[in-house]
Amino acid sequence: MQVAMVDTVRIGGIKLSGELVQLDLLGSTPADALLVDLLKSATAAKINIPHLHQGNREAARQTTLCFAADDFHRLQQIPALATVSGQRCSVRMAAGTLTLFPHGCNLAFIIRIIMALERAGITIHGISTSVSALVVHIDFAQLERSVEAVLTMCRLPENHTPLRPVVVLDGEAVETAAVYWEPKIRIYGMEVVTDLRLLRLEMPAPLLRSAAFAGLATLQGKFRLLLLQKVEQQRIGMVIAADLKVSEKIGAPLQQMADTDRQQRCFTESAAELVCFHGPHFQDRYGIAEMCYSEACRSGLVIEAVACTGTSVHFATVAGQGRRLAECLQNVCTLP
Amino acid sequence: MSDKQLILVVDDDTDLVEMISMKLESEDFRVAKAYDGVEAFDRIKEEKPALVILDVMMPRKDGYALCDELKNSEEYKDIVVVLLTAVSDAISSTNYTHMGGKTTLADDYVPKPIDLDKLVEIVKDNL
Repeated sequence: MQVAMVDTVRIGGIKLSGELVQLDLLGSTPADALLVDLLKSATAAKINIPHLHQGNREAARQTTLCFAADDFHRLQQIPALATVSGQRCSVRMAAGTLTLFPHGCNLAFIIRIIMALERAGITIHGISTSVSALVVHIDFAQLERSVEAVLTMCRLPENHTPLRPVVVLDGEAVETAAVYWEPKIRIYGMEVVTDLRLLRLEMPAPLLRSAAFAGLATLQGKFRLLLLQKVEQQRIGMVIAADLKVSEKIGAPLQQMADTDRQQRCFTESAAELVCFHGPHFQDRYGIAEMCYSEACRSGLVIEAVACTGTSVHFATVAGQGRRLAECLQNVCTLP
Repeated sequence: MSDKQLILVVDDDTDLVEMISMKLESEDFRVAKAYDGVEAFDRIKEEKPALVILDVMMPRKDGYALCDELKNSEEYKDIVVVLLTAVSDAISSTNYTHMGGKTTLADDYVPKPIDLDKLVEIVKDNL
């Protein structure tokens, strides 16, 4: 019997979310105002948004938001939700996230994780990255199975940190989150990364299980930001920000894959800059995504992609606008 | 064996661990990572770092407990411990304050949100 040897990659850990509700909104620029209204209302109701990511799709923006399932009944009281629900909006109940860290900005690692999940029949509803974390949006009921699937190609440290939050030790509560509010967000510093390329790809979802997609795992390249969204039924969009050298290497194979679907133009590449920052307890605090996103919209600058995930915030903009966007975002942030 | 000194970075904020690690590596240190106090103690036993950067609010075993354990141990008491203390003294909901950080046996402490340049300065001063 021939036994296939599979290399496993050592990772730092895996975290599983609690039960979430995922909202996917597709809207044009006027819809930004509705989204900002929704975010502001959520903040006013002290509802945290642990994940927000957005990618542009021609003139429209596709936004993915997650809320704790326990907060959803309060969210439903918000009039802004009814308004956005009247737009192109889908609500996915019983959602969850599988978080792996660190991803090492390694594109091949992410491709292999996607393939492992697809092989196990686990539907991916979205992906976003923070500085260290790869966050995969799947069904809440599939979280345990997803761990089994990724452990076919990853290994955890012995005595690794628990997959779900531990809040009690020897009968005593252990704090891991500080609940507080400050009018300005304290951050660890803000970085503007220039000379990047933004690669956008759309393709039929079944291609994630194809040999062509598997072939991408041989590409050696570091990305700065990676998003995956369902843009339509059975169709997914991917956004990758990477430096010029890497984009030259991965651009052609990505375009080749996108070209397998010739119904419409589905690969674009443009010059971009990235503004990124993070701060303490971003995941636990309500209002972070709202303050950053509202300020970025108010700036009038071009927002190509957004990811508020883990404790990181990333904004991709067009070449030449990164510095100005960072200055605008500093209106709502305090640097150390 | 590398001559570079080994620093262990411990925090349940994985993004912060990554950022501190990148900064320290750029300053020519070797870096090991752990994401809570229990895992950190295992790494300390395995790798004997010269210095540990230790968050206080963590699952399973917090930074205060691990710091006490190290400083009360003959074997590990010489490992330098730099605590990352709570985000603000103004937080009423937490027991982990800057003052709490000062009362531990740690060699130094850095208040959050940290300034990475300042942290590197403190690391170098303590080695």
